[in-house]
Amino acid sequence: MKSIAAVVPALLVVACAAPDRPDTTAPDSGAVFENVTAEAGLGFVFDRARGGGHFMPDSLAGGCALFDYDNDGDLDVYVVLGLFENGTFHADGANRLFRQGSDGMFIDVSAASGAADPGYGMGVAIGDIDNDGDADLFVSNYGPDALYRNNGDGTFTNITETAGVGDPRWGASAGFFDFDGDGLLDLFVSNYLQYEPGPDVRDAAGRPEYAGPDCCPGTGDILYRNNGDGTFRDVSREAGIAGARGKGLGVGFADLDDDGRTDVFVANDGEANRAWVHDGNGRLRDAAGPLGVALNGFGGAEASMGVVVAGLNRDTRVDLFLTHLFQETNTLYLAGDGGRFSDATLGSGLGKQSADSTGFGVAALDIDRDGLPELAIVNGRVLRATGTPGDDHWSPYAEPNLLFWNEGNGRFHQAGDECGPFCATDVGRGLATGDIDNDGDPDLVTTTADGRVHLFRNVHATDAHWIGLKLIDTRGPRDANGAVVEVQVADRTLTGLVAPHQSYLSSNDPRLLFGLGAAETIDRLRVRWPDGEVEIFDATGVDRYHDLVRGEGNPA
Amino acid sequence: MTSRPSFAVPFIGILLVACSGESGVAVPKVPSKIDEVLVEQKIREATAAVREQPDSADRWGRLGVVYDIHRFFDQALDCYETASRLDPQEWRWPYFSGIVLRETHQGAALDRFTRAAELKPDHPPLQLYLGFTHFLEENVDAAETHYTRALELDPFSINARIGLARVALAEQDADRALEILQQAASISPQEAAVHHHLSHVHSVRGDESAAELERRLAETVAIKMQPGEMASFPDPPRDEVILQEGVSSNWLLANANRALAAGRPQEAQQALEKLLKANPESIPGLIASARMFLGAGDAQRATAMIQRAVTLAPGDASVHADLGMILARTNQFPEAVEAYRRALELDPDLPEVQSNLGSLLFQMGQTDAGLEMARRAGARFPGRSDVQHNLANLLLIDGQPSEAVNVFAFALRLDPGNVEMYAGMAIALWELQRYADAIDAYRKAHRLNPSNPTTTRDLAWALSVCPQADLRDGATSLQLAQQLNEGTQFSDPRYLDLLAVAQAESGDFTKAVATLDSAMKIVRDTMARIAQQLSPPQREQMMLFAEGLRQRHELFRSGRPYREGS
Repeated sequence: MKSIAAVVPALLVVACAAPDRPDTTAPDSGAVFENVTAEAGLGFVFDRARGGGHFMPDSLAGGCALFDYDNDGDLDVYVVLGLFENGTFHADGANRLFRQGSDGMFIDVSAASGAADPGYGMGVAIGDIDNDGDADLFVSNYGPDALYRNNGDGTFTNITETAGVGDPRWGASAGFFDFDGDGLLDLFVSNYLQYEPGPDVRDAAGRPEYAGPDCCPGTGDILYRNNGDGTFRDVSREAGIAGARGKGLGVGFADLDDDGRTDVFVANDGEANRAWVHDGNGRLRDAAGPLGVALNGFGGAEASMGVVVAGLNRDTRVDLFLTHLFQETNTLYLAGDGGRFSDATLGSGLGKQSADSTGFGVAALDIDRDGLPELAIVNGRVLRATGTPGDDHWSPYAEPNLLFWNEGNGRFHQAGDECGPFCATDVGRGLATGDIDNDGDPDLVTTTADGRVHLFRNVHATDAHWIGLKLIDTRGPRDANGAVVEVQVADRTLTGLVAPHQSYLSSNDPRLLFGLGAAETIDRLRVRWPDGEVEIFDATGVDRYHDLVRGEGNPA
Repeated sequence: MTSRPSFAVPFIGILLVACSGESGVAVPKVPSKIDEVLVEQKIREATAAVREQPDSADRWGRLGVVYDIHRFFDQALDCYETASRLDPQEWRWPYFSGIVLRETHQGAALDRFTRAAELKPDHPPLQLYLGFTHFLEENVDAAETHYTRALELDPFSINARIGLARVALAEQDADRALEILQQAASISPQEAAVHHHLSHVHSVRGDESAAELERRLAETVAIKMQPGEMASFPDPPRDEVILQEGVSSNWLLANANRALAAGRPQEAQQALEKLLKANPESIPGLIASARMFLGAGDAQRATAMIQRAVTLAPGDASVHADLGMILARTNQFPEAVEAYRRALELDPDLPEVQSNLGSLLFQMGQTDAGLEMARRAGARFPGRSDVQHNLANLLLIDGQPSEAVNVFAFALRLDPGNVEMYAGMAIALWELQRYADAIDAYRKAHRLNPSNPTTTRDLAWALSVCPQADLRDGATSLQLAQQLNEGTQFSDPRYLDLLAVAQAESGDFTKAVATLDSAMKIVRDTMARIAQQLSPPQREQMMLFAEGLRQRHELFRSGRPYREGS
């Protein structure tokens, strides 16, 4: 048996299985996050709505990504922006890439890197499309989407045209996964509405207001097959998704029906969600209804925005959590026996607590390293809450963010003062999580509707141990999206899913980070690679990151 | 930072000025920046009324309403609270406060609703709000109590049934939920919310094929779910208040549409004129105006309005759809086809447009293309009874009664109160010589609208002329025919013709001949009087009718009754 190689950074997605041991621990005092945006060099000033108009995409954009674009071992930040002013798109709204230096400061390398996509940006997805070991960049836009190949020298090349992925529809969340099992990352893009800017929409007071989702018909999502030569082919029709219209905003990638293949979950705004699962004949079929995730547990189609795919209770299955509009609750779907999810929101501590908020970005992250992921949610209204005149453009849309501690067994409780600056009031949209300072706990980056970024460093004091894993698939796509890792620790099995494309318009650090509690050793690492093959790795070295390279373990 | 701030009374204040009157409460200062003049005028007027009589709960309440419906929520809440203090027995102020608070503070809303319901326990929408908010707050038992009460107060309430089905699901009782939702579907089969919930319940019970059908219906029926699901409930008394006080563009439009639906075009026109004065580029305002003018027979102004909308929003499919409708109504068929096609280019999934374009092409002689378009629309929108109805009609005209019957039957499941569909179904069944079923359909149509002369005539005619002896009922036919003729003072030759047929079926041929003599005389006199004014097709129709009368006259003179369809 070969040992796992020690390596670099890490983070995310944790779940666990084992004893029914309620864990209600939360920090006794002090905030678990501190806002280090300005000191980290991310406090740039931008305002999507500086022209004062009410261009609908302004109210829904944009996302962010945490990824190591230069392979220097720390996470960099990509921010998706856009500017529509006086009827035209402005280059001032180009996206920005910030490189993290060894001192933890971020430097704007947008221009030098060539990654500053000038389109009106919505979302971002990161994936190694050519298996060359560096992260490539897809941007969804209101207008043609864009794909940037990482040249491996700190720069990117826009290959949208040759790649054939410049779909002009209003793109939202996107993600890479190996649809056809050929070892290359394919690309799924959710599209939102057929919206055209026109005369102002007005609210009941006669004030200009953003259009709502009822304004316009939905559209279809798109699936691109990676041809392996830098080009992609739209296979939506042959894959069976082309005829399905919806108002897609969020996506999540996981094996939802337990057939060993990675499926696609699409969160639709005000309409039934979709769960594209493999039909066994090279096509996808929508199984959201049979899986119990099309509607909430009471038969209602909700305004779904953000998505979490992660184990959220103490079993080893992947669960779903969705953020929604106010007067709806956010919804927790727990995976059960028989391939069906059940709406477990009622009594979970996540329902009524969210009924006053409109949730967008969301992350499952184990803040206190106890082996149970917390849920962090950014909120912000899409319609004004108050009519107080004299407010700036965005303040009537602002709401406090939410943080929930995971008690296990499907129950959560809302964080109080310890949430710190993360729970401040703002107009939240994107959220990505990753271990920015490589200290073994997850941090957060959020974006706001006006285009600002916040960096929240996890400062929760804990002696709990951890292990971080970067999976490298040498037979399938190198990124190993969809791989599942089980970490055996004493009497517990922690489960992690490589699923960086979730939340809302955002892309998380793809590394897995497991909180181990008091355990100082791990007994076993079991990896189920995306193609179903299982490998066992020797278990060594906590409180550090490791590379898990396919082929370096032992067959199960 | 902790969870959101609690929202206990008193509410956080807003822009209060020290101009308190006898109530001892400051009147909210009129916001300094209001985008629409009419809204500002309305607020100033209601504020002045409060200043004149500051101890009047009604005036405070009205000012609250004016602020509330124009989304100045903080001011509205302040006014409602003052009104409540001045008149603690008035239920509307805590009720309206509750509706405002639902936007941001469910717990506080529940408190206000509870207080309102203590004062007014028999208002169904208030019980629905209580049920909904309790459910959101996870008080399932309390939600059930209020939904049950809402249903007692309004036995046809769909929202109460959906609420109770949710309660049943929360209690893991899918069978009960199914029963409740099936009742809801039978009462209101066109509501997407009902079908969404039904699909979920079928799925929970493991019946995926039933779930799939309901899913497709949910996606295509006419009454869509609103974001936030059951975010607001119809409340006629509150709607009436809004009608009186809502003056922003949105309310003017809503009020105009409501007035149009209620058959009050003048009121609609006034509202739309105000709207377009305040916001000349309001696309919904221009569309509503075009529809209003079209309804009033003013095609020229309707066209002008919709053309302006097209200029302002050339990428808006619904504008082109309305343009197509107006052009079709004014017999500009090729132009209408072009407009419909443009709408479908912009949005291929518009059910009315697909359906209307199918009809139009059929009408223009492109029967195959028209029927194909209507079929596609029918398959794509199984939940749209209007689309199914149109397809069934085209199939009937095209000589495909068997398929028409199937489509009519499907459409009637969605819209079981549709008299025209029963009548169309009866014609199709008659053509298939399924006379018993046809007469049954005629009876259903008549039962749904007994005062409708067309359904009365159709049923009476069928009962007399049916070739199947055991289905004929001369006595009933005679009674219905008599009723129609009395209503028209024996002056309508069609009803006289019907009466003669019924008299013959009842064996009274002498009377039948005399009745037809009267009918034939009226036709002759009419022809002589207005022949020049008739178009060739109208003239041909009259001639055919006259020939029918003559043939029946001959039959009855020879003592033979008239039969049809054998």
